[in-house]
Amino acid sequence: MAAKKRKTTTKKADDVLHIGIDLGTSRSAIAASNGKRNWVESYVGWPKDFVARKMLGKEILFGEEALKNRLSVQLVRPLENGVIREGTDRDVEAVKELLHHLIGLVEPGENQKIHAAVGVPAEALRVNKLAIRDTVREYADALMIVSEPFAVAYGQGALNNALVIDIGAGTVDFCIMHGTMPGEEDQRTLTTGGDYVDRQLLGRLTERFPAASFNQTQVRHFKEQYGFVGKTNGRVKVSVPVEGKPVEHDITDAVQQTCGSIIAPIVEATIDLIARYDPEFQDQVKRNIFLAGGGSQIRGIITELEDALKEYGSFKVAAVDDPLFAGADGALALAQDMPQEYWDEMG
Amino acid sequence: MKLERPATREDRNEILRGVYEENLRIVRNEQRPRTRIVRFVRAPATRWTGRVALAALALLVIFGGVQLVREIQAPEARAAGTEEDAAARIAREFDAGAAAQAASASIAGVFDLEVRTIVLDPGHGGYDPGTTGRAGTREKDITLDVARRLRRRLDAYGAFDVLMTREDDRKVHLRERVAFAREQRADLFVSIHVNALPDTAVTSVETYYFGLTEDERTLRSAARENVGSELSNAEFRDALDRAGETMKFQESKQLATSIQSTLFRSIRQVNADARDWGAKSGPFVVLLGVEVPSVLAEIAVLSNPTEESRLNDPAHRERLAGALEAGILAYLRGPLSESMESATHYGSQEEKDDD
Repeated sequence: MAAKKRKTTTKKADDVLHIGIDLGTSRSAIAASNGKRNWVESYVGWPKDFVARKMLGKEILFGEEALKNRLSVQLVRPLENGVIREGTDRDVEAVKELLHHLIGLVEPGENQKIHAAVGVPAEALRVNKLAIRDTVREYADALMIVSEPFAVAYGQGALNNALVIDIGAGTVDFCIMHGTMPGEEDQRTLTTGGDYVDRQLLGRLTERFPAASFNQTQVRHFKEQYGFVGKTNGRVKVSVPVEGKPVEHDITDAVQQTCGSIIAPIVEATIDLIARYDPEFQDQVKRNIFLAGGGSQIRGIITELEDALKEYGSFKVAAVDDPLFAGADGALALAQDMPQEYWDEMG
Repeated sequence: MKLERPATREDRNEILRGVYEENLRIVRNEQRPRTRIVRFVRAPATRWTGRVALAALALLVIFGGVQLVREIQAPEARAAGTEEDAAARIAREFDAGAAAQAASASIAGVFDLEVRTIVLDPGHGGYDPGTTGRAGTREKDITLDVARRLRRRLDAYGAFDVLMTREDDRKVHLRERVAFAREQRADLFVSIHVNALPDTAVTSVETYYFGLTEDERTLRSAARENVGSELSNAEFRDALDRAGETMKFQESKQLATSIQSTLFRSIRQVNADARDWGAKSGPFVVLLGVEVPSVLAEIAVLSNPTEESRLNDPAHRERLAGALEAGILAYLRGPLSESMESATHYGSQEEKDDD
């Protein structure tokens, strides 16, 4: 019966473009079945006025370009702390534009149908799921949304006895996989993601170097470039202007302490989540922990996490290969694996 | 690190079907069935206050079951003719066993009492700003904002009627708040406040519930009734009333403990120095008047300048709302389903034996 149904509804491969999207707080990525992949910073900017529009020559800017021209645009980062920021029309519109832009980047054929699987922060899926679905629907013929850590797990083939920890900008999402679709009880969300680290780091640096002019964007770049936990062999020195003159500042301790502050909550949530399962299952999960998201790139984080978890048993933590695209790739794999009859219901 | 796709094709198909079904639910705006959460079916005839008698009777069944099992397990003890009164023994048994469990779990969960209407009570408002921080942040604004965020979060489940005692910046008297909760037939009542402390360096979290002391006499009376020690109508009514008090007290305490736990954990993530002042009873009029599980959460401390600064960050207020949401849901999920199953099993055993 199912096979017959599938036969009548299956499209030719070229008729449908499967895409996987990772709609992230900080960066959004897309992977398509035509082999194209791309990503963009999750910023949307509308020129503030006629002059700005004329100068920029665009009605709307995305990602790094929007960020660079932030003084000339109304800059919106629509997802904050893992949810559509304030639920305002502007935020929803920004999500729509961002998705439209992303889909354009993989160049779907003119008459190709788009079947999209979209990974969103677990918190967004919980709080804004209908809004997000409505937002995406405009640009896809059929779509499914899933939580981001689940998309990563699917892409990694970590479907059973595994824990994915997605350290994103807005949130840190945990998802236990045990061979079935994870439920809310299998997931946790912390708000100590990258943005939290940025704010903490900015606070520490401003306090430590009151004369220097640090800003949030700059601090984020420092974190991404120099972020580490645990021991370090060298010092982190950056040049920041003081009264107009470039001055070198040693920010090693601030970076170390701030990045290290995310370890304890991650350990606590990990133990809390795993402890709910059977001991036998716990042991398997402990050896199958995957770190994803930008935070997985913090130097030393795997060692530090394993050390911190040591008192609870033997843990094996690994980072996914391609964190920037792990969510999008996973969502794409899911989109491609999804039976056609399921897609038919999702239009 | 790519795995070798250890899951079977069946696993994969199962997961894909799960994704599909989850999305169907989203499209239809349905709630995903969650494990161990009380059912949210509105049944006006058997709402909280009206269910006290049912719950008390169920308590009696549990006591009887405990007693029965105890007697089955230890007939020799019975034969030995202990001088201890049976009722007292059951009471002791209950105190040591079921009550100990109940202290860490929800009776509402045990009896599968529904929670449908949640009333959120943003403290202060209008000409009453509550406490004010050094930078001018007013408690009334914070409580209203957090309550709105919490309502949005709870609304997203589609399973609750979430109401607020005030929707905007206006003064609502305590008696009006209580009356509102009663009129709306609230099942849970959560009052949101922000603290002010003489020591401005201190940040703390505390959650209050109203209650006097745990009335063990209520439980003992019920135990005695179960083993055949007859109570007069008046005594039975008294026992029911006190059972109701105990349930409200216990449920409020449980709800407060749950909220306190999630709230503190959440705040500790951004402030390692925050102090956990725990869930505790306090003489708050607004809690006294409400007949259902009710708590008053002091979600932050406005007298601390750093905390005040955090409270002006929407993300932090969202975090607080998330913590309150998690506390409420953790309470509703109640880990005692299994215990109830055990209790029910005891009851079944009794019936079987009677047969």
